[in-house]
Formats: sequence, C-alpha cells, structure tokens
Amino acid sequence: MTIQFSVESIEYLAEKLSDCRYLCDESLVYLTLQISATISNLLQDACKVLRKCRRNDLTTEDFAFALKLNHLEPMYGGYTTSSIERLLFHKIKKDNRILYHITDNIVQVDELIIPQSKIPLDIIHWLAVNGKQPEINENPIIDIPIRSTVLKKKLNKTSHIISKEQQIYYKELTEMCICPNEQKRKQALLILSADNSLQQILSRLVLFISEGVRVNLTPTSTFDRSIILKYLMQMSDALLQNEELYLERYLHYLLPAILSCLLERRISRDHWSLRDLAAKCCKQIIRKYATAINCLQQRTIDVFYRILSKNNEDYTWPTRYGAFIGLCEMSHKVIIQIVFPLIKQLGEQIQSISDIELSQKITETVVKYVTIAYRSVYNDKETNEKKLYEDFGSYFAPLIQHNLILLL
Amino acid sequence: MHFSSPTSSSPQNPISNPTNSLSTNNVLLLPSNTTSKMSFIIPNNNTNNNNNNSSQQQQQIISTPTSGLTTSINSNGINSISNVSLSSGQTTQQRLSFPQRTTSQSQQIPQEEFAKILRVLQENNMTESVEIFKKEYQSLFNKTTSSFSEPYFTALDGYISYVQEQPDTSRHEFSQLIYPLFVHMYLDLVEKDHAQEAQDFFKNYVQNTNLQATVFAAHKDDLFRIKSLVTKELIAQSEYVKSFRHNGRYWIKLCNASLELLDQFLIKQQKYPLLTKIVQAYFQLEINDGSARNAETQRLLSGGRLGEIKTEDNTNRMYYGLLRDHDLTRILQHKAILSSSTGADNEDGVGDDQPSTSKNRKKLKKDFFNQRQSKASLKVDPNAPQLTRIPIPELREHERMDLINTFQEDYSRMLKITPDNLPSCCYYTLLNGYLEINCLEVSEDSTLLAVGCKNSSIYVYSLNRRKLITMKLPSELERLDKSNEHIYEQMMTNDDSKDNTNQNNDSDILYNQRLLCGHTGPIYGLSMSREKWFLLSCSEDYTIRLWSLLTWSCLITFRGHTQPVFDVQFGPFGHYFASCSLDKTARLWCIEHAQTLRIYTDGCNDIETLCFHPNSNYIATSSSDRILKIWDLLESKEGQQMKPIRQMSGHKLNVCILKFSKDGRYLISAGYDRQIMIWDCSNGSLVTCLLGHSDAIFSMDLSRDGSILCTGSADFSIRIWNFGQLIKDKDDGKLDTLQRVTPSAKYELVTYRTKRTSTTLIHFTRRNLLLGFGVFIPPNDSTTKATKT
Repeated sequence: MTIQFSVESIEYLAEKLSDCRYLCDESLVYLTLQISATISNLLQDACKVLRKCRRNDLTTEDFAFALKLNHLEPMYGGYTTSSIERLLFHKIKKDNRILYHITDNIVQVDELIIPQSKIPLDIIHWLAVNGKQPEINENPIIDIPIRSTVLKKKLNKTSHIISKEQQIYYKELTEMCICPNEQKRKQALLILSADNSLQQILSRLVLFISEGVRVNLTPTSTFDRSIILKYLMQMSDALLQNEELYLERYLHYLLPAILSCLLERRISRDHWSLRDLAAKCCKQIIRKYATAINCLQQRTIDVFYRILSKNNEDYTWPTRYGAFIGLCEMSHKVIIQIVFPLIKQLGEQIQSISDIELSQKITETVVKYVTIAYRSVYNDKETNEKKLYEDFGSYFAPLIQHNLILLL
Repeated sequence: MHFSSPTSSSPQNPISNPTNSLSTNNVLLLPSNTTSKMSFIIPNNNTNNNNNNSSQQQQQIISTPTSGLTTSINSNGINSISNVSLSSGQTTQQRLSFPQRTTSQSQQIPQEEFAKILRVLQENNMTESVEIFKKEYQSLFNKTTSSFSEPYFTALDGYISYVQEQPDTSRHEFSQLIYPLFVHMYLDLVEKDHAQEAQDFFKNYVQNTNLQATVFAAHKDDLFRIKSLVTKELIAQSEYVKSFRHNGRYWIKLCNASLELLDQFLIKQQKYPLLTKIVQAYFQLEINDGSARNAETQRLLSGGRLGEIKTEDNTNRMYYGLLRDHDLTRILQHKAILSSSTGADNEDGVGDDQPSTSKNRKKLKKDFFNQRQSKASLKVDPNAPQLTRIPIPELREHERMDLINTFQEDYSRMLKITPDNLPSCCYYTLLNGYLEINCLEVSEDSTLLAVGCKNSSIYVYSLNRRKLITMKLPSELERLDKSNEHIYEQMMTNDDSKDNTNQNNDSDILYNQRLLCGHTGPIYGLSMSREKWFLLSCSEDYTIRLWSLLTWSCLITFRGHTQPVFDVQFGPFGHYFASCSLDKTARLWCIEHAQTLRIYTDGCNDIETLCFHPNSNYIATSSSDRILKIWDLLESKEGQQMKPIRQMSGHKLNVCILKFSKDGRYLISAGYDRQIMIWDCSNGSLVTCLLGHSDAIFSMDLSRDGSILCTGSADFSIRIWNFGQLIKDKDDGKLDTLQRVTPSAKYELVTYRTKRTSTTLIHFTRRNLLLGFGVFIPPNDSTTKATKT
C-alpha cells in the first residue's frame, strides 16, 4: 500500500498539464509528497467501499466514490460497467517494470442504448449433504485433508471404483489420444487440458502414460515407437496444463516416464522433438510441484548433472542432449549455476564427435540457451571477450559472442 | 517535579479531594469510583514545559559531539593535507560553542568554513580531495539538521531497551506503550516540519522485524494510514489523527507492580523527558488487580485504535435476556382461544422429537394456559428487560397466524444438528454479478432473496417456486368483503397476466423476479422485515428507502444521514430499524416516522456494520477504530450524550459482521483479521477467539436452535462450529481462559469448500437447512496471461 511517485513523473505531468516549466526542485519534491499522500488517502477511502462490498478488486467507481467523499472534482468517464474484461486492470510486465492499465475498447452505440439486461443468474446446487460434499462439477475437488489419515488408509486398501460412464470416457479418451487422426487427437488433448472432472480417472490416465512409455521403450518392440511416445508426451503435457487437476499424488509414475523419454539411449526418427517436449513437461512438473520438502528439483538436477559431468562415454550424445535440455528448461538460475561451468568441457568433447549433424544440433541448442541466460545476467552492452573465452572455452565463446551481438 | 508514589493512593488510603492534590503537586491524582483503579494525569503547565525544554537543549548539546563530525573528517583527512583537518577542527569547536542557536543559523557557519576550505583545496589543485570533502560535507550537513530527531530516536530506543530488560513475565505489559509512543513521536516530528527525519524515524522502527512481530502486528492497518501523513496539513485534515489524538486518551491496562516500575522510570528518573511528556498528554493507565495478565490475553485484546477499553465503561447493567413473554405468550393466548373453539385438534403435530426449547414446552402445556402464564410471569429472567422498556407494537392478526404456522410447520420439524448429524447445505451461486452485486439479503422464512447492485437497482427473487405476490389495485380492494376471514389472501392478485413476460423463464430456477428502482447510488445494505412486507435499503445517496413488497413501490425515503449509508437493519420485531453511515453516526428510526429517533455518534470513526439485539433493546455497531460498541435504545437523560453501554476491543482489522447469539447473551464478531471473537455481553469480556479461516470472514449465521455457528469466508470455504458445546464448556469452566485462542479443531465440525465463490450471505432455514449465497468470482485471465507471456 505504499504509494510513491517519482519526482520525474510529477515534473513531466506538471509541464504537460499546466505549462509549469519553471518549478523549482523544492516545490517539485513538495508536490510529489503531497500527491503521493493524497492518492494514498483516496485509496484508503476507496477501500472502504471495497470492504463493504466484500470484493477483492478495486474498480474505478470505488475511486470515484473516494473523490466524492473528499469533495474533489469527480472523474468524468473511465467508468467501467459492462464487461468484466474492461473492468479489471491488466498487467503488463516488461523490463522488470509493471504497469497496470484498462483496455479501453470502442463501444458501439447500440450496446449502450440497449439496457444492460444482465440479470445475475443464479445456480443452485448441493454444497453438502449431511456433512459430505457430493462430487459434482459445481463443487471443488477436495484434496484429502490431513486430519483423516484413517480414512486415507482405508481408501488405499479398497480398489478405486469408477462408474461405467467414467470407464467409457476413459476408453474413448485414450483411444483418441493415440489414434493417427490429427484432428481427433487435438480434440482429445484439449479435453485433457481443460476438463476438471478428470480427477476421478486421473490415476488411470497416468498409469496409461507410464505403461505406454515402458512398453514402447523396450527394445523388443519392432515398429516405430517414437510416434507413440510423442503422443504420450503430448498427453502428459496436456494434463500438466490443466489447472484443476492435482497430479502430485501420481508424480512417481509420471516423472520417470517423462525422464525415460528425455534421456533414452537410442536414436529414432524425430527424437529431437520428443526430447524437447519431454523437457518441457519436466519443467512444468518442477514449476508446479517442486517444494523444499520433496526436493523434486534437486533430485532431477542430480540426475541430469550426473550424466553431463561424466567424462567417459557412459552416455550417448542423445542422452546428454536430453540432460542438457532438461537442465536448460528449468530456469536461468539453473543454467547459470550448473550449466555454465560445464560448457567449457562440453565444447572440447563436442569437437571430437564425428557425426556432423549431431554436433551441429547440440551446438545450436547450447548456444541458444546459454546466450539468453548470459544476457539476463550481464545486461551491459559490451561483452567482455576475454571473460567469455575464460568461461566457455575456445569452441563456444565465439559462437556465443556472435549470438550476443545478434540479440542486441 | 515529583510524582507521588502509588502507595499513597492505595486502596487503604484514597485521596478524597482531587483538587487538593492538584494544588500541592504538579501531579494530579484522580481516584476513580472504584478505589482499586487509579489514573494519573500530569498537567502540562509552564514550569513543566520549561524544564523539558531546557533538558532537551541539554541533550542537544550532548548529542552534537557524538554526531560524528570530528571523527569522520579526520578519518578522511588522511589523504588530504593537514590544513584541512585543522580547519575542520575549528568548525567543530564553533559548532560546540553555539549549540543553542537555531538550526538555520548553525547551518551558515560551517558553510563559510566550507567555502574557505574548498578554496584552499582548489588553490592546491586537489580535485579528488575536493570531491571527497564535498561529499563528506553533504552527509554532515544532513546529520546536523537531523539532530532535531535525535532525542526522539534516543528516547524510543531507550524505552525499547528498558522494555527488553524487564523479566519475561511482565515484558509485554511495558511493550504496550511502544506503539502509541511511536505514533505520537512520528506525528510530532511531522508537525514540526521535519518530514524527512520523520520518514527515517518511521522506517527505522517499522522495518525492525522484532518490533514488527510483536508491537506493530496488531496495528498494521493504522501504520499504512500513518505512513501517508507526511506533511503538517495532512495531519491537520486526517480523520485518523483526529480519532487517535482527540477522541480520548490511549488506554493501557497494567498491573500494580508494572505501574510502579513505569512510574519510577518515567516520572522519577526523568531520563527521557520526551516520553514523560507524551505519556502525560495522551495516555491513561489503569491498574488491574492482581498480577500481570497473560501475554496472550493482552495480545488478543489489543488492536483498538485507542488501546483497550476502560473497565468502568462496561460496568453499567445490560438487560441481555430475551423477551420471552412478549410475542410468544400472545400467540399462545391466541392459540388457546382457537383450540377452545375448535377443540384440541392439532395436538398431534407436536411430537416428542422436537427440541426442548422453552417455546415448545410452553406449547405443550397450552391447556393449562392460565396457570402456566402465572408461573411464567413469576419465573422472569432477571436479565430480561421489562416489556415496556422499549415499546413494541402489538402483533397484527396475520403475523400471529404466520407465527403459529411457523411453529407448527417448521420448528417442530427442525433438524437437530450434532457432530454426527451435520447440516446439509444448499448453495446459490450468483453468476455475472462480480463487481456488480454489492449486498444480499434473504427473508426470515428463506423464500425471498434481495440483491442490491452497484447500479443502484434492487432485485427481489423468489427462491421457492411460488410467484411473488402483488396487492390488488385500490379500486379492486374497495370491492372486497372486509369481514371475510380470508381477506388477506383476497387482497392479493391471482391473475398472472402481468407476468406473461416471465412465462418463458418457467424452466428457470429463478421463477420470478422484481426490480426496485429509486436510489441514485450504489446500494450498500438491505434488510427485510420478518413478515416479508417491507424491505429497507440504504445507499451511497445518503438515503434509506422503505419498499413495500406487496405493492412493489417505495413507501418512504428516510433522509438524515449526511454521508453514504453503509448498513441498515430491521429490529427483531419490525417497527424499529437502525442504520449506520460514514458520517460517523448510527441512527435509530421507526418506519412510522420520517425523522430520526436517536442518533449515536462515534467521535471520529465511520460506523460500518450494525446488528440488533434479539430483545430489540440494544444495537451493536462496529466502527473503523475496530472497537465494537453496544448502544441502548432507551433515551438517555436530558442533555447527556449517548454513550455506548459496552465496548469491546480486540479485532486487528475491520469487522465485517456482527451477530448476537440466540439467547442474547453473547455477541459474535468476525472480519478481515480472520478471528471469530465471542464476547460476553454481561460484562463485555472476551469468551474466546476461534481461528481457522485463512481469509476475511464475510458472513455468519447461527442455527435456529442457537447451537451451531456457521461462517463464510473469502477463502472459498464455509466452516461450521459447535457453538453450543463451546458455551457449555465455558459455563462448566472447562474452557481454558488463560489461552483465549481456541484451536479450531476443538470446536470446528466441518468445512465445506466452494469453487470460486466467497460466501457473502449464509442463512439457516427454520428447519436448519443451511443456505449459502455468493457471487462467483471469475478467474482473472488477464493477469495470468500476462505472467505467462
């Protein structure tokens, strides 16, 4: 709630609005203080309405109310009444600066003339029946509370029964997900990423993915399996995008499957995009579910780091690529702390690869990620060439430098 | 200057004549009505001020050498020539010799010296030294002016360290003073035109994490307000300062031992005259009997803008009992007549499974009505007010009929809620209404829902499948046979021709709706009378309107408030209603008069919500200083200002909702600070504080038998509490009074969660079915999108 305008902005406004070009610094400082305090007071008054109406979002009307209360000149226009979109302040974030604004659309006259017959429609549902909340779409999905540990144990023993409808739903959905028809698959993925009633069959869906990956990764399968793996990864990606689902309890199935796809040894057709997709899923899991308690991020990083740091040829280059991209997707912080020290050594090793296509692909990716991360830390325009060579070795340094210049 | 020791004012030896002590001492000792309590005020007469001034000046003299003038210059003088350090030494001497000059004068002297030294340096062509010297001078210059705030820093620091020295058992007693001292000092600094130093002072203490957790935790709301007061003019205008400084003294309760120590520190030692001055001018200390209070208790009761509540303020008698004989006996009388004429036919409706409320017991024995009445009149609740204390009009015929039906139909089939038999909850989600709907109200019989909107219109919906009834036109009414016993039903229209437009919506759950237009500003409060005839609404346009729910028109506009009206509520028997407003008053009205009956003023604080006592003799209000007040409807003596009969402090943020328990003894309050506090009206003490919600609490209701408390919150949940058990434990003495915060698990029965709806209205039907109402809050797409990209 601290409001502090900068002197510069007040100076600019003073010049713009009232042609006060020659305000001395002292008066500007005083003016800034006054304005900051006045706005803060007005906001406090506006909050009275906010509190009275039990809302969370401040509207322009609230501020108009505060102006009225203080006998100040009222606002003209800027009232936001019709659609919710226009009511709320939107947030723009750029260069670590946050700006809030209202999208001011052009309103057709017809819309204004027609009385806003937006009758608040209400929906009735049973929130609870005899102390229990029925599992219907109107009710939120409840994570089993910690209190009922006894109940949880019981649940584990009894098999999880799903209704006939849900069984059909599951069957149709999984079939759609791995059918060759592009359109159908897209539809199915959309369902996965948006439907919140999936929680009941979620455990089976996750099992489907994990089993699918396991079966298709075994060397015995003969046909081209990467396409199926890709579909499965798309499924997990869609599930992770669904905000309403709680995947936390199934991570021990989901994460190993994803990591297997990311770090698989063998090379199949189009395996690069499969790895990229898996890395994306991995990133999302860590973003969503990593906590200090489960050490998810630390454990995943450990896996990747072990692969990358070993000098000998224990791991194939595609696997190393997977580990690398998995690390890079996590965050800039991870890149800076873990990937940066590895790059010099990586550069030396890459030079020894005979496959040109392979080395090119890896080099491209490394340079791409490292440059962006580097830019985020050292934001100055002049890049220190010496330091670059020191940090990244003679193979990567010129490439990174080139890309840095391109970014400018 | 001496302060007579508290022993002289001990209970055994009270000073009978206060003026005597005034003349003999600088100290005024005012023994209050009860001898065990003592308050001391020391007048700010001239001699006192002079003393303070001189000692302040002394302190300035002492403080100047420590301001780092010599040391910093010398340390920097290493890389400059000796000439400089010598001349800088001269400046310090000069500063020391003119300590009593005003700051503007003392600024000039070093400026001359500064120019000299600068010239010398420039002559010798030492650019680096010039730079450093300039910088150093700048920092010193600031320091010399900041010496004004120095005594403030030292005094508060001194007091804080003094508090730290105290033993653990009584440290919290002393720390009560830190917050008000801090605020007064800050305001002082700003008022004396030292805005920058005041800001430093503010930052220094507020950002101290230790203080944040202990002292300032209860006053976060006000700290924001204080921070925006940066100039003298703002302080002069500020309502907050008005209510903090001029609305009374900051009330602090201490135990006797602590007070003696404090007296020793502040008055005898006079180490920090500034502190003494502030305490004398703005504080009032009250002695608690016995030993120091528990730190937890003190923490719970703190939070009011002006500290705690004077114990004396809550000593007047409050008749919190119910009017058992009022409407119920009259209903029974009526029923007795009925049954005597028609024979005892509907006896069967009264089964054994009904709850054992006194109402039903009475009903069972209706045959012995006459005896019963005499018994009942003998067994009058000693805490109940007399029937005639506040005149209440007789019930009308149809109301009586309604009440009888209610008891037969609903109360006899009321569900008993126990931990094994939890209530079902039917939830009404209002869509498309976020930021549009301001308030909701449901009728007592749960059949009508009124919605107050921002665009100043009011919608009334029928919640059951029945159409909203309308009274016939006057010309048609004239034609009716008035002797007919079904006259009330015949007065209403039966033809639906008017409602043809709504026929299409038959499938809709909202069977019927009405729009009431008249206000010219957003609606902030609604209240429906018990018999569903009237609806009250209050609005930003300073007016309250009474609407008829039979003719669907506005009957009266009540004018009187001079600021937006925030809440309005009917009394439990109709007829009276109360309103509260941002003009800092609560008012009592009667629907038969357009004028205000009573005005309750609350100094400098907005009154935000109110609630009627079930016996219609009192109203409770909550104001922006976070103190709950209970007012008497009975007129005070001529010329006297209305004073609240009870005051309760303990909430740390604004209160959203107040409710009296069904037996009228307890007041329950909840609000933005997530605490549900239960107060005993008999003496204004805190029974307990329930915690559990993780966001502001907006709504609350008690089950019809008064045993279950239900709260709805902004954390998208409804919690059910076993209120009956809590009161029972309290009466048995099982409730741990030392630890006033009751862990939620002990009395919380169940939590119901909603998806994205914060429950703004919660209501038990007559059969104890729970109804929840809330406006769906659409997820804010724009912000999430922005963060994703």
